[in-house]
Amino acid sequence: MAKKLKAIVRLQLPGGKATPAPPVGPALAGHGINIMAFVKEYNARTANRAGEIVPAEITVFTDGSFNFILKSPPAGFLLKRAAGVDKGSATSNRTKVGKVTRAQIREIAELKMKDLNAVDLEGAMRQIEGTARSLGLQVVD
Amino acid sequence: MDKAHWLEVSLTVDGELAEAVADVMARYVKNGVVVESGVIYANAEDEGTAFGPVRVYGFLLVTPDLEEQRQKLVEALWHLGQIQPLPEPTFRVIDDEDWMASWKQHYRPIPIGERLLVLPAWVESSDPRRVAVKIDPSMAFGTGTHPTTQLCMAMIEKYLTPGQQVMDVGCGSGILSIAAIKLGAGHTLAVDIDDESTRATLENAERNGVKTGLEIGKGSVAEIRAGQFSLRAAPLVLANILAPIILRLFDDGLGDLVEPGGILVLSGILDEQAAAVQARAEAEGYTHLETTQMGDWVAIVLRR
Repeated sequence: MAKKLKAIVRLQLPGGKATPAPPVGPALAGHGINIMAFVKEYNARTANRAGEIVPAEITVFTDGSFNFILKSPPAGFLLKRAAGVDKGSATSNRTKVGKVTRAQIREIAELKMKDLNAVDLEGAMRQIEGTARSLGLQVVD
Repeated sequence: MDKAHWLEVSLTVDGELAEAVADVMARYVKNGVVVESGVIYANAEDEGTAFGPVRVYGFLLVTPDLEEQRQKLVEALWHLGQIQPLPEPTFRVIDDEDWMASWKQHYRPIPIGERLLVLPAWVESSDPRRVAVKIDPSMAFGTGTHPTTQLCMAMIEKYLTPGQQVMDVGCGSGILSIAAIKLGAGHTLAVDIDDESTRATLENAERNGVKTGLEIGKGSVAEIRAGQFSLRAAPLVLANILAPIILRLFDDGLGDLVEPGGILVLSGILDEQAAAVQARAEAEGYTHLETTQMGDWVAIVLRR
């Protein structure tokens, strides 16, 4: 049947380990969609990506149906991996915790290009650089 | 043990900032972060597009060190705000619930026509005079109570003669075939080109105890006409699909599936598409009996 979008909900969850507990439960219950159906399907599709944060973009329709696609890992996850750090800086405007090269930024921008609202690679790189700075990562040539 | 509580932390930001905010939040909240966009529609027919500011939120479990965790998160967001301006986060405490069960509270039995009642399996029928059709809301098929489905069910109720054979082309969740059998249909053929639909139809038929008498097959008009199933024609044929597909199915011979004198119920048609669909059916020798409407949607009933 023709469907109308109700909302787009992006959940950044640990691969293979989604549960109905928050944030999944409250995020989905509010839209009246079957949480069990989502959790089972998500864990089945991400079982081989344990240890990664795997975003799922859920499209909720007004008739209560939904579908979802898996996205590339968040830029922050990829940047921290590239810089070899576990977590970003808590005071990112002051304390830098690591470095990423412009080549790494380009690589991540290419991977994330389809998930970002960027018109071109340059725009995507600017967004990734912004995220790098927000994590307290220095961008070097 | 006392019920657990959660502290929801939420910020509404521009799309570009969402990823950075989600990343900071993900360091402190439990289990992951949610980014939710609203939707706008270009016109009544538009499916909708994600638009506008996005809400980024996550949850901290309420424990003795909650305040410390909350402070750390607020500070990290403040530092991010020094790079790019951010609104203040908002907080609210929510009770832990049986989330698996709480989504079910959205559903109520829906009376359709004079005699039918659609309800999820976990709800007891509140009206014993109505015939209960139990359909659980699912990922692919939603609640099964889209206006086009409701229109079609009401027409089955009106035009089905008990014992009649029925064909359901594009059966989806199987709801129409199940309703037909529950209203007294004889052998019923439900087909769909999608494996998920045929699987759902079987599950729903079992749940409603109408597996006997229901033939489920993968295919469409062409496969029926090629003799792949036990029926090649029936006195009542249902097609609850979209108008452009109905028009295509006429090219494949949809008109031939109805026995002479039989009834064709077409649904899934928007108001402004109705004339074209009716004209096509009339060109195939059908007589228009009635058109019913719910919101923007119509169902058309024709006799061959």
